[in-house]
Amino acid sequence: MTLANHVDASLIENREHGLEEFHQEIMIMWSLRHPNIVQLVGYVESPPVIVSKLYDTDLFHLVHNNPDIFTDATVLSIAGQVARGMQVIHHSGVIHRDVKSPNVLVQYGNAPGKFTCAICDFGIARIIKAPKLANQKFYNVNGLSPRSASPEIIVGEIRRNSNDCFFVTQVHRPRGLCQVPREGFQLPASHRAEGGCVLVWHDPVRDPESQSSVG
Amino acid sequence: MILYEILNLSPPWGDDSAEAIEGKVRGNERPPLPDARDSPVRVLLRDLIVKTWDQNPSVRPEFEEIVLFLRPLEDFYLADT
Repeated sequence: MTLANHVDASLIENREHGLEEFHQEIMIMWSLRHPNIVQLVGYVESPPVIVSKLYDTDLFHLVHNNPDIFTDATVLSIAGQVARGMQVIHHSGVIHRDVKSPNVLVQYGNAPGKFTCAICDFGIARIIKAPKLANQKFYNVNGLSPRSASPEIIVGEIRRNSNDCFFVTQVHRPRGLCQVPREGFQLPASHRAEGGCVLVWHDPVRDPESQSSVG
Repeated sequence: MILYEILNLSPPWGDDSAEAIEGKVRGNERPPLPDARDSPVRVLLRDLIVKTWDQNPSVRPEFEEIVLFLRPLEDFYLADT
């Protein structure tokens, strides 16, 4: 499986986002398992990076670059996949709050117009009616049965690192495995690798209020 | 709105500013419906769009209902693809 590491764009755009939101996003992704929802593979605390499977593109780019493939059958297939993913999200007591075409990742299938769609970006999602999930402390995330997590991820200490970098990997024609950036690793503000992935580096303004928890 | 976008092949509201969109949505205005192109599937999906963007959230269908609505259509149209 090819992996992508990314932090959702809202983490870049919305400077009020902090590690609390990052942790909540991971918890939500961990609790959701469905072919039409992007599966969390792992994460890095510093810099905050979410590792998931690498998809080929997203629905937004597909609409704008390949409008011809949207036949009745393709439209129906996408609608069904997104609806099933959203059904699982809502059944889990989570509201996504940012469902839009750039947040639907696409994996090409074996024929034109045939692909798998998966919903991503739980950066501003909210847990509304899942008592087990809502009351879960992050360090107790083991209770969410993240079967694929390694021990160091589960017991990893939560650090409030003040020199976090936020990375975004947009999914674009993967050439290979994306490296998980090491601490202190820096890139230009927007670096587009031809045929590879797009990494956006952002140095967030550290606002003490951004550390506060969000309900 | 995803369904709108993949039927319409352009984002809803065109070049309208965020403020303009907010005002229109509050005023119960919606973007023009995509062309159904004489396709029964598109007529049905267009109808689904209208249901899902009702001003009153409580009458919008749950995703469970949307999945149930789409399933027979998918069975029929995707069976041989």
